[in-house]
Amino acid sequence: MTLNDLIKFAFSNLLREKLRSLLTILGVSIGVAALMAMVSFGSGLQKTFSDEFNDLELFNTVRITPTRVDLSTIFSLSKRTVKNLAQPDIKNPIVLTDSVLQKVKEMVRSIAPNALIYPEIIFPSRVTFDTMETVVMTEALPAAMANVAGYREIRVGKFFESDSSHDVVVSEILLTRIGIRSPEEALGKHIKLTTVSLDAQRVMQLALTPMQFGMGLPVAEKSYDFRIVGVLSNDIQKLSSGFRLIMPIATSEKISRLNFLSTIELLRKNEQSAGYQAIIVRATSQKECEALKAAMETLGLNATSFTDQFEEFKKLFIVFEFALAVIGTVALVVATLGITNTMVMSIMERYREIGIMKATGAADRDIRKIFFVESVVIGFIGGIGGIVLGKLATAAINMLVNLYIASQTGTKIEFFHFPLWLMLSAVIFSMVISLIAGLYPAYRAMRIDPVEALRYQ
Amino acid sequence: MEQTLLRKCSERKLPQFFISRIQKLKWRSLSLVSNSERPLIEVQAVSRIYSLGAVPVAALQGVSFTVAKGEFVAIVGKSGSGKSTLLNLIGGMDRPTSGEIIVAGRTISQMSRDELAHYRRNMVGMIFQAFNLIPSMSAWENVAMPMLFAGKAQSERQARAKELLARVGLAHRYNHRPVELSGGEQQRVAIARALVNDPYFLLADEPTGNLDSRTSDEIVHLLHHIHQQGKTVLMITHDHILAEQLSTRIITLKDGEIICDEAHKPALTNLQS
Repeated sequence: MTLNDLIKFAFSNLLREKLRSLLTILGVSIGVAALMAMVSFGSGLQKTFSDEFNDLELFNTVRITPTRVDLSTIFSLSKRTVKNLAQPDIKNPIVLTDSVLQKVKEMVRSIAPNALIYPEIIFPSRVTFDTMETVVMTEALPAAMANVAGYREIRVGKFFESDSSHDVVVSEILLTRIGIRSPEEALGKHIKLTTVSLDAQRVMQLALTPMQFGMGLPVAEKSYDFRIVGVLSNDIQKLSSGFRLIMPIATSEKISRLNFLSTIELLRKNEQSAGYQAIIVRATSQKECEALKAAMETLGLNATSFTDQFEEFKKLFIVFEFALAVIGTVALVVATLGITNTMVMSIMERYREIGIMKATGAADRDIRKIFFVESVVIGFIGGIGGIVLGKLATAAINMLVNLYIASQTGTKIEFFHFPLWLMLSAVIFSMVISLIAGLYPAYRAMRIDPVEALRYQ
Repeated sequence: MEQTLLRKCSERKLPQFFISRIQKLKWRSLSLVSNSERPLIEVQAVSRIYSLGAVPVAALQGVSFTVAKGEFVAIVGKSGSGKSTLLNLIGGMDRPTSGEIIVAGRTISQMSRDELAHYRRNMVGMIFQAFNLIPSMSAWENVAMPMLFAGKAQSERQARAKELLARVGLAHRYNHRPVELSGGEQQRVAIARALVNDPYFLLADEPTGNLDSRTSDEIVHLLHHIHQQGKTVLMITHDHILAEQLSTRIITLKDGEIICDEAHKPALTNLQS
């Protein structure tokens, strides 16, 4: 029998028992849909992150740190807080001083002339507007960041134009904390920024008389006046905490502050105390970024690209996706047991017919092929149905979840991703599993004795 | 000729594929040659013993006879005489416990399952008492079914089925399903199916057993006509009148043995001419 004949034959046989065929196919469809939903959920999340990072041009970023970043600890639950004094880090930390920064700048100029190089500066400050106040981590960035993704799509107003101005850019969500209702309203508003630094006089006093409770800390507060010139669009908040206040980098150098985030950091004796926490280089392409990273490593600097971190992140995803795929496969396997059942039933009903076919010249392999093709046809239709069902179901879930998200923060996330390879492999997988499900029934049909079958009424 | 070919094959270590091709050729040529030299069907000391439970039951015991090309042989006997067992053996659906069945020079009792399927498809045309049409298939699809297993193209199958349905007088029933046909019409479709691959002989099992006397006559005339055109027919029946109408020879079976084998002048010859 030719393949064409076999397929036609399979369809006409499936149409004989419409309801039963339909139910079996539906079972396979649900199995395939479950598998698709599971896998597409994994790849959808990964794609969302990857696209987001790409949009933010994070893959173009290299970060130079005093010590080597151990990537394996980045995504682990507990931070490494135990340090063995007897075994200090073998590699000496590189103190990221201004001269290092200068060296890096010179080196980068030759490879990526358009790259931005700036030290990472983050310090806490108190923001006061009118009667409201809140504490926020203040970042310092160069004015040239106005051309970098995430910052150039500013929502209202503009990015500060000078590195030494007293202008700031804030995130929309921060405005609500200080009682400004809309971004438009915020433009041009003056806010007070208060930072903390050591009070030299009181430190001197402390040197003479030991510290007592109730004396207060030997620190002084200093306030500065800033003007809001821009409000960041919602997009950039997707993956950050959302409360952001950005000031020009040169201005930040004139603000007296403590160069650490908390006493915990002090106690950790971070070597960074003398230098910057990190130097950040933002190239214009990922290719440039890789070249920069290699060049920095030959200089002996500890460079980490965001790509490296994302690769680590992806490894976690593979495990996650695999677990999801296993659950989906179980659903599909259960569905294919339905195929085996249907085929065995069908053979019992067509027992005499198979006898007639054999008596008039069907070879064992012809009978076997008939039932194989029937199983595979069920798998194929079930696979196609599964794609449709999977798409509908995930679209519904996505819509419902996004409705909820919209009521919370307002940023839509695509949870499911259906690349073509996934749809194709779902259909092929479904067909292969169906073929396996058809093995036993086909073998049983093949062994039917024509004499016996013709006697059967 | 095929002997020398085969020897050449083994000398040059040609692949098995060619050897099997040549063996098929041998089968064809042998059967063509043997038509004039030896009988078409040779049944040699055939026994078939069923082991039902502890007691073995002999359905056939040392049955021997030959059928020459062009004969119309009726095998008659009461139920339990071994007729059906003999039909299954000659039809290539069962194997004898001992003895041999040789059709057109080929020993079918030694064939593999695949070879037997080929034999049933191309060398025998089976006609059953219960017609045995496939209910989900139209008349032409039923007729062309053996060609389907031979891997013939649809256009070829349709043309051949049309031709044969016209021959049995059912050209107008081409697309009808078995349930839409009368008993006589169903049996005519079955006869067309039996002829579709132009077999060496027809093997009919009570062809009129399920029909009333009028439609039964139609089938009798059709079988007679087919025999007149040169087809060898082997018919199994318990109906003596039917046997006498059509056969040129009647073999009587009783308790698994041949008790009578005699030439006969078919009553229908005179009617027809």
